[in-house]
Amino acid sequence: MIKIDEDLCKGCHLCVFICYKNVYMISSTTNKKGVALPYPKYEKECTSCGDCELICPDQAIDVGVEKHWWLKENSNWKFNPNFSKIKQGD
Amino acid sequence: MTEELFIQGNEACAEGALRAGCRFFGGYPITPSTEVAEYLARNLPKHGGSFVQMEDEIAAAGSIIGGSWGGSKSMTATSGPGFSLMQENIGYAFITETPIVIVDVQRGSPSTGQPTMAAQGDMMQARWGSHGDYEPIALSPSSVQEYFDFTIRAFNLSEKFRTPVFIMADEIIGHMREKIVIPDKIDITPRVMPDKENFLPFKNSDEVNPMPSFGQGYDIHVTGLTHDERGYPDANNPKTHDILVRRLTNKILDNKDEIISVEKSHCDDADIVLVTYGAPFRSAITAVKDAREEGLKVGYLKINTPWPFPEEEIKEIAKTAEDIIVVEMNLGQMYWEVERVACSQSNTHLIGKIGGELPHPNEILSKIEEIGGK
Amino acid sequence: MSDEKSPFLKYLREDRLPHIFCSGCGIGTIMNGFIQGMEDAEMDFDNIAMVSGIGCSSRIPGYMKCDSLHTTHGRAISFATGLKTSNSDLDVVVFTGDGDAAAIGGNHLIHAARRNINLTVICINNNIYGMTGGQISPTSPHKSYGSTAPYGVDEYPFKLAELVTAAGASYAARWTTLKVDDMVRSIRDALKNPGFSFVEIVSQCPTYYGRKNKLKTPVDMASYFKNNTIFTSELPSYTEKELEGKIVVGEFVNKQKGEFVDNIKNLSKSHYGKDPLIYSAYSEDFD
Repeated sequence: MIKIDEDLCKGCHLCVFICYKNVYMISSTTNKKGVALPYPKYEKECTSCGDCELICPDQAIDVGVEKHWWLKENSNWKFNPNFSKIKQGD
Repeated sequence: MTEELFIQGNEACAEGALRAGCRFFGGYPITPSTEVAEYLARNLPKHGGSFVQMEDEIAAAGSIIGGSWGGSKSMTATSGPGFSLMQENIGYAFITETPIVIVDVQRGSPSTGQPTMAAQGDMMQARWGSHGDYEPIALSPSSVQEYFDFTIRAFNLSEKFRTPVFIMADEIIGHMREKIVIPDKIDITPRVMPDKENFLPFKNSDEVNPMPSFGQGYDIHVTGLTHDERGYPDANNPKTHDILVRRLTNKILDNKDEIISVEKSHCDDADIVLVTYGAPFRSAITAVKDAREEGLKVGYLKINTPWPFPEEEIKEIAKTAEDIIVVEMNLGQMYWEVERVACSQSNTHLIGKIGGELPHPNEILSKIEEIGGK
Repeated sequence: MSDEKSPFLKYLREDRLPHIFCSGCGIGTIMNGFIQGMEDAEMDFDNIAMVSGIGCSSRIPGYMKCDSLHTTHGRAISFATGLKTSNSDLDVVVFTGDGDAAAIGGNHLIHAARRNINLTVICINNNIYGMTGGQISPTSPHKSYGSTAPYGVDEYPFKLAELVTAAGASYAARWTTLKVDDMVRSIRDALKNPGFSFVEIVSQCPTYYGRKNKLKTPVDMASYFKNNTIFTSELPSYTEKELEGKIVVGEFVNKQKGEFVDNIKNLSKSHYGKDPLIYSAYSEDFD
């Protein structure tokens, strides 16, 4: 499930550019900054590669993948691991 | 057990730094301060410290600020040209409230000037060298023992007030050899770890904020931009800037009494008072003695802390003394400060000796006689 | 597990977002790339200290929820040297720009590489001074335009990754913001590498570089990168003339050698008997 944070998006459309499956389209609706937001029109084409999430300069996209495909071999690897030596003590 | 050593001024400074807890030194070689770096390069590894010779003085000043945020008391030593290069980072240390100690062994200037001769030409650079409003602390030793003692005091003051402290020595004191006595108990001011609960690194309070270090889990953002209490940049807000800069200057001005130190003698009945600091004090004290033997009413006031300037003490002198003679090794820097404070009450005169030699006591004596301490 | 927010946000000071970067600026991408690379390298985020100088790129640490030092222009690497030497447990990362690292801080950059001190320097090279309004930088391509080069740049640009390699770094790579996966991998390797690591990321500045060089939108700049990138492995098949205006990406060096802070530790072990003191400013007694 692709989510786009309307408040954070600045409308650069790099997600539209980078997606090799052409999932995104530019909508006519704008956010409060007045930028035309992208939206995942063909979401069922999405392969969860996560490139749009990674390239989004404004941290506005969440593809919602548990694991990225290029890390599949690493079984111990968790997405969002909570690294914290110091704070665990609190 | 007290220890007695017969060592060079710069080495006494380095030894004082070690005793005060300095465990990081980043420096760049420059005459006449190099012995401080050499001594610490030899001795820091023996005491659990680290020494880095940086690529220039700008980097040296940067590295000690980094070292201080890393959790070590840090210092560097330089001379006039290097001190000029450091000025931008010194301003950074003021606005980020980083405790560092910078030793400036002054030499003949401007520019490359006289690398192996003494001068006191950096006094105003220490006061106004970096851009903007700030209140520096500077200590000026006039003997090897004082060089040692003042280095320890410089570290304590910088930790206590979280501010850069300068030691304004000169080539004479730096290269002179004298006996020093190291007391068996040295008071040092340790840093205090702040409370993590409701922690605000740059809190707007009358007290000096305790300082955390990197890697302790405070997630602190340190910036040279005007910042709010959280440390986040807020550079376009006039009020934030006003609050921040006033707090930084007031933390020194409100504690002037604790910081300022002067030494005076024979001032109570004196018609003429010599005001000196650093190496020229050594001539002044002889001149006062000779003058007193001649029956002239002369006293001296020695400034240990040129910055913040001891205004009250000078005013006190100006009330009784008819004439004040400032003896320094430049063409008048602290002289103007004395004049500013004392002008309405006393006549101020300058013995400004440049060229690298101390003013001879006879020079001072003849000036005293000329002024009229007949 | 997804809380429907970008997975990178939890490392950011969310109270400061959205950040000041222009629409389409590559710096945000590099922030993501760093976070992903850090997760891949299994680093402890709380143990990371970020240092930066002045410029657009140097605003990154201000948005990261970790200890960060935003220093004077060009001097970030010298501050980082002090920080790393004084507390060798920290993982010190320097974010810097092309003006910051190559112009005013060029000396610090090559000397840190020479020392091979264990820092990770991420240089965001957008070929222009963005924060001050589009002046040319030491990496502006020959004949490109900037507000201080209205008739085109007559100078020749620095090749930073090659410069740092020559100065003695133990890891150096260059990527563009479009090569996100390679960038992540490179940042991961740089963070793990015990020595001076330099990752140059050629980034887009649509607001200034793009506007002055007929690449007005982020997508224009991105497609320019896409069409003008050459891998180091392909280099032999190109002539010097063909390489003009191209961006050579890839790893330039990746070799182990003696590290500066390790040497200080060894010195301390032989003279003091143990590692250098850490957080010594908080103690009252010194031996």
